[in-house]
Amino acid sequence: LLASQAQSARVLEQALQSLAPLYREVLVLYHFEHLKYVEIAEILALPLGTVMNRIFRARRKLREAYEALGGEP
Amino acid sequence: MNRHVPEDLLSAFVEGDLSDELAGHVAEHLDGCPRCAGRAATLDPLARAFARAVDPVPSPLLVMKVLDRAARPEPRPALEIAMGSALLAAGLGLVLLTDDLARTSIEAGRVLLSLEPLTRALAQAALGSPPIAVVLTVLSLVALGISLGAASLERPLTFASPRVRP
Repeated sequence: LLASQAQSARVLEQALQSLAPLYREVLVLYHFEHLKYVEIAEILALPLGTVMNRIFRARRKLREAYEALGGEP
Repeated sequence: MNRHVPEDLLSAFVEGDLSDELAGHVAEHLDGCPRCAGRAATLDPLARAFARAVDPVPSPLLVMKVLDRAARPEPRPALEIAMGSALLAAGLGLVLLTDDLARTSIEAGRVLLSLEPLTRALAQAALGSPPIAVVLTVLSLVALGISLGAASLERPLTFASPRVRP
């Protein structure tokens, strides 16, 4: 079980690395740096709506890459 | 948006089906509402994968090593005990050589006094550098110990003021 969890984390990391930096950036800021959406918008100097749009696209692409690499949901 | 986000709106948000403007409003609410943010996280298909990645699982080998190490008894600090005993013996030896220690201490005091300009310069340097300050503090404590030792042994001081017999 421990090994499969570690494997899953590795696949997620691979999937993240396969994303364009533009998309990887927002996901890392939200899921790993634990920033708020508003803070990410401030850092990137973009309107909140634009940031949310980018995050949704990024999530969709990450999901596709994760499943393509055989990651468990 | 003060009330919690309804389930269908939250689902649409997670799936990215909302307009940018509405998604922005929901995002602002989630930023300030841990409850809704938690609900949104559970709706994310990759929520579990993210949780596992954020809280990485230690390798089975590491777990086994830690458990093995914890099961073994704590080794006795033999080296520390030996060094402590040696220092204690050296201290006792010095105390037994009282006259010599008194003489040595007073000479050391004189040397320290003659080095006063140097110590003043070092103190100035210490103001800008914590490591130097630590070293100087230790040296000062040693010097203080020597001075106190000398003071406690000073009673006869026969070598400094020879008595003149009438």
